[in-house]
Amino acid sequence: MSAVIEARHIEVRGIVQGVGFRPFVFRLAREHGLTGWVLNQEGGVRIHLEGAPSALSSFVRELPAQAPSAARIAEVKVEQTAARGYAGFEILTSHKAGRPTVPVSPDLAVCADCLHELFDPANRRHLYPYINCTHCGPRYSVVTALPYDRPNTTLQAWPMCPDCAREYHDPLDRRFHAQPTACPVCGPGYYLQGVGEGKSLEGAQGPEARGQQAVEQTAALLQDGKIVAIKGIGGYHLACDAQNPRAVEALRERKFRKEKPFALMVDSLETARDLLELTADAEALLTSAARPIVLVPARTPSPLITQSAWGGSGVVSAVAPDTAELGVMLPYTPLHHLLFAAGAPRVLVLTSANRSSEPIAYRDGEALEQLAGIADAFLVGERPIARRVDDSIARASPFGAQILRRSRGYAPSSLARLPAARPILAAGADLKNSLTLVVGGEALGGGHIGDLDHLGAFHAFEQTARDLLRMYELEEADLTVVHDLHPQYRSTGWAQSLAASSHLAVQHHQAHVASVLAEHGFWDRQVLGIAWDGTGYGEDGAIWGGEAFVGGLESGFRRVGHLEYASLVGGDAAAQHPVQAAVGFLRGLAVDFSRPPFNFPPRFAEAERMLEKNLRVFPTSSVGRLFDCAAALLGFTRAVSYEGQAAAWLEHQALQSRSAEAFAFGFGNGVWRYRELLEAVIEARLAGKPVAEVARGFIGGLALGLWRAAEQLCETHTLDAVALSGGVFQNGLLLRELAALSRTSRLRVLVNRQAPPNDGGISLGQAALVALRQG
Amino acid sequence: MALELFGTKGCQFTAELREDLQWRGLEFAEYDVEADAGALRRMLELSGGQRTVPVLAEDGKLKQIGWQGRGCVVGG
Repeated sequence: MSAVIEARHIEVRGIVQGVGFRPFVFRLAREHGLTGWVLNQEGGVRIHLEGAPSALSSFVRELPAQAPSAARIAEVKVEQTAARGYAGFEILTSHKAGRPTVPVSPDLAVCADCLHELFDPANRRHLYPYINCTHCGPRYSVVTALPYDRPNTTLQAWPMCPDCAREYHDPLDRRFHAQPTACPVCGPGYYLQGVGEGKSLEGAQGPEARGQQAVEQTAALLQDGKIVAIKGIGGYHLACDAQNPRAVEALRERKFRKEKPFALMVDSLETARDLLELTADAEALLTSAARPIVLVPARTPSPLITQSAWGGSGVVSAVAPDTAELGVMLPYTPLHHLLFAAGAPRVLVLTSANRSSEPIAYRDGEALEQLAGIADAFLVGERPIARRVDDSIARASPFGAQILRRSRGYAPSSLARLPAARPILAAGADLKNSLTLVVGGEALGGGHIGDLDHLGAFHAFEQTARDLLRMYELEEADLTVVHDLHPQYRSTGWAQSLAASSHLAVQHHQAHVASVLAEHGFWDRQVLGIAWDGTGYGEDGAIWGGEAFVGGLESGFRRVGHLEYASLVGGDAAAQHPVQAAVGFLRGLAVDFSRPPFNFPPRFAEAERMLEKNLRVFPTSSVGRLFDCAAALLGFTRAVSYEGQAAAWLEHQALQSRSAEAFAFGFGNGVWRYRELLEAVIEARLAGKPVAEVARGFIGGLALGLWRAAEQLCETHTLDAVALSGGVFQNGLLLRELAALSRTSRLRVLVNRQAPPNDGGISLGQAALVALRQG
Repeated sequence: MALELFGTKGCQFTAELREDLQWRGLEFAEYDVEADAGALRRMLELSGGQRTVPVLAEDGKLKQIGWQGRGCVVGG
């Protein structure tokens, strides 16, 4: 009696290419004695299976459960089909039909198996810095076109040797169809290039060392306090010894980066534990395959931290002055592991290689040119980088892990599913720009780009947009293009220049709230949305930044509350000078702020005069500027050297106090009243209360004021969920206070988890607000 | 109080704002900025050069751009 043979046609969508999915399918089919084939196609993976019905069911059940860890399955469709009588199971070569919609896999940290081989003297890839397999290694940073196959990667210039080819073609090998497969015999390598005494390109010498010798010399240079530019996955880093004050100061000076914190890479989790107050959540983020920079409170005291910049051998405070947190990552490329094994200092500054505010350098020539004068030497990798991919930044918040900068390890994977009828390109905001492309119902984030006021960043923005359209084979005419309401945004002008099928605009803060709803799949829910940030163009032309809305993705949002308007002298330029931002908020108070304890510099009086004459004065409801005002009252009276610095300083001060009574911050008639809040800060300061305590009372007041307003508005509008977004919600202490307040409430709090709460999340929100209304 | 609505025929958000004004029983003058170059010029002056409609003005001053956070962009 012959067994019944049935057949199934299976389509799997999601991140299933470049993650070892076909070999996995091959193994699973063989385990169950099934025949047929598997094929990469632009929509994902297609499988034809034949065999006993019970074996077919087991296969379908086990497919999602046992899929490779790097795979992200969005959907599995199974259909009955006719059996054809296949004798075996095979992996067919990719075929191309229609427009690509499959998401490209992000770049992944080197896996444990590859690490083991890297340090195994008997392995043929012993100490080979480009080791990888189907479970790990570069993806987005090496793919040049879809489908993801060897000829469509930056490895195409290196034909595989017979050994690599054998592994690549063996379905049972870990490197079966691992597109960047390479080895010391056939693949690219690293070399060290010094810079001559004159620190110019003319003085550059040829390669000083190759391979392991180059790694060892680099480790020695770092030990010696030198600054080395090191090619990574998605661009160059500048590295130096974080425990060497002179090296750190030199890097700050040469990079024109006065105070903004530097990211660190530590050799191991043990070192991270010495340096940081690590929670289980933070550890999980640190060791995740994405390997982001994780913001974690520094340990005080720590055997690795010295507070004085010029003493001891600890991590110097110059790395991250005036902030409570350090940004730390673990090694993620084989090269990082090789450097630490060769004796590189165990805590390295590892910062994007660029001059301040420019995009990360990723082409060799460009890096050598831009970084001459900053780096003492270059560790150059021969594998080209297809596109720049910055390090991501994440943190464990009271509401779960949050991504603050979404790039390497996450981009270009889908942030959300959006029921869009046609492709959408969302241009984002001008600060912390990111693009979102919606194709095949998936919102794909192109990764962090930067501040578009810088020409280099604007070029990167245009390049990323072109790159996304090319990869997904889209023409401008296929697109609904959406941009911010701000008429002067560079992203607005650029979006309007595209020959798209339609052009729409979305208000900044409503985009913030929409990004949260999109992530949570709240396509049809009405919520209260609260967006607090530094600046955004309002519907009335004012500078908004302390907003409350009621609505949803389809209906859009109605403004139901905001911070009481204050006058902002100089508009957005006031963000550079907390005392200038403070003038309008403090108007009419009978206090001489030029005297102790405030000691405001002359800029305050100058701004006061402009305010009186009504010169360049704009109404604002920005909570970010309210933070600046409070920081100025508490002693931060100088100019900021990076965005959000005054607020970070204020949080740092507040964290020095265990708890303090929250100042009143009332809400009524749709308006948060800042005046009583600031009067309480001034009174406490005049009474000589410690700065830390006053800062804590201010942040506690904001949290309480927000929460009371949320409860009131949700009751009025019969809502049960509140979505919080905007850069202000990067403030860890504010989030903690809000988490505590929400614990006893029936209101559900939604925050950004995948998209950044700062302006990096705007493009997702723009796309979400038009996805259901493309017209 | 004189309300003026600047919009376009094809824009769904202009239509929604118009409906809302009518439902609230407010009187307003409406201009199609794609058909009326003078109205487009006045709208651009009112709203600092931004090209999103609908735009609502009151007594010759900008009151609101877009409807519920969204709007259509008028070609240059």
